[in-house]
Amino acid sequence: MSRRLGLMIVSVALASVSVGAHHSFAMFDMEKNVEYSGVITEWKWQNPHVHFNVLVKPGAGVDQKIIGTWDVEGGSINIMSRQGWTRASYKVGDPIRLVGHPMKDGSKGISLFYAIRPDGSRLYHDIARPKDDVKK
Amino acid sequence: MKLRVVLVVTLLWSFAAPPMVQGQSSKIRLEGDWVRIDPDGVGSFGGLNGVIPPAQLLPGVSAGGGGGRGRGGGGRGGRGAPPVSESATPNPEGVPYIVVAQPCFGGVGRSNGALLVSPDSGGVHFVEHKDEVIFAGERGGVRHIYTDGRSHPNVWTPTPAGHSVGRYDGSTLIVETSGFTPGMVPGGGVRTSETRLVERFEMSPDGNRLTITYTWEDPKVYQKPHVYRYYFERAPTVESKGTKVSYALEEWCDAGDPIEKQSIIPPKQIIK
Repeated sequence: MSRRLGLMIVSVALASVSVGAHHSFAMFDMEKNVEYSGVITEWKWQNPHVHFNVLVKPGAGVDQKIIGTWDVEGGSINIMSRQGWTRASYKVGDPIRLVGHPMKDGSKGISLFYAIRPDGSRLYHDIARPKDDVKK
Repeated sequence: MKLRVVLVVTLLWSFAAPPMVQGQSSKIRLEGDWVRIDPDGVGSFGGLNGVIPPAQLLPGVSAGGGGGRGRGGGGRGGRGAPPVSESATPNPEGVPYIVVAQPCFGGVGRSNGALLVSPDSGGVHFVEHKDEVIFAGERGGVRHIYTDGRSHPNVWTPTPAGHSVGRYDGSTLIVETSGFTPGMVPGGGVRTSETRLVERFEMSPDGNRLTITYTWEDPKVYQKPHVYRYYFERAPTVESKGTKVSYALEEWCDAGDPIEKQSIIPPKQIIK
């Protein structure tokens, strides 16, 4: 009986894997938090994921690996709005500092974690928080 | 003068106090908009699954997705698309990484409230009626929690959200659900048509924090009940025409839309 149940559950699990995923985040290194400073070159306030491009220019102290134009993926408009974002949070030409999870394969894509505003406060993209900023 | 003071104090208190259920003046209402929070500081959305205690399954029962410290299966999208590859193999240049169903939810779970059995970061909304609590998600789906004293039906076709009946214990709503279609449960758990779920919707004394305690019970699956908690706060409001309102319940996943279906596409590099 338990073997049959196990088989049934395995087949159901396989059929419904990723029930909670819009798309895989396996391509991002979610354990790695990298800070990027650049200028916004494209701003797409759209569902299901906000996207914007950030140009990181070469300069003193800038890691060679992060120089270039990056596609930054955020959450949905509703989810980001609840964290304080608006359509007007940034526009093309604005400087931006952000922390995100880079692509594992080294290509120029980032899953946004948070932006750092000039006053040092953070604009999170979703409900996840780092250990140093939680509401107990 | 005394009467005026009493009136002013009463008026101010009525604005400051959390909402009450009609006829039960001491009861804090669940009604309204809520959004999940991360009180553990997990560091990324996928990490939210990692803090759920692993389900203790009976020997021979295989774990479902999102178990233990794993990431991914319960990803932040939570849109319930059919199987998506978790491979980290890079796509060929120019090929978007997104893989979505057509339509996003494919009728698998969104419209039937499955997402509300395990809410993600999309907003959720409760309406408390005298005979039922309506539990709706901005990402789609509705659960009906009957509080009129009825039992589960004798004949029931299993669904991803099952059949729910509830009762109040003070301000806490206790919901018992059965009649699920087989599937996965957060923390590596699984459910079958015989699995029973008890949810406790418990609010903080100020009415601004909600804790949902999930208890999955099935003696053919679990060594002991599989228990974990999700935490919520009242959804923030915005000013609109002089009134504070929350967000509209909005459908925002159309995989047929070429803009909406896209994901990370590494931009053309000006600086190599």
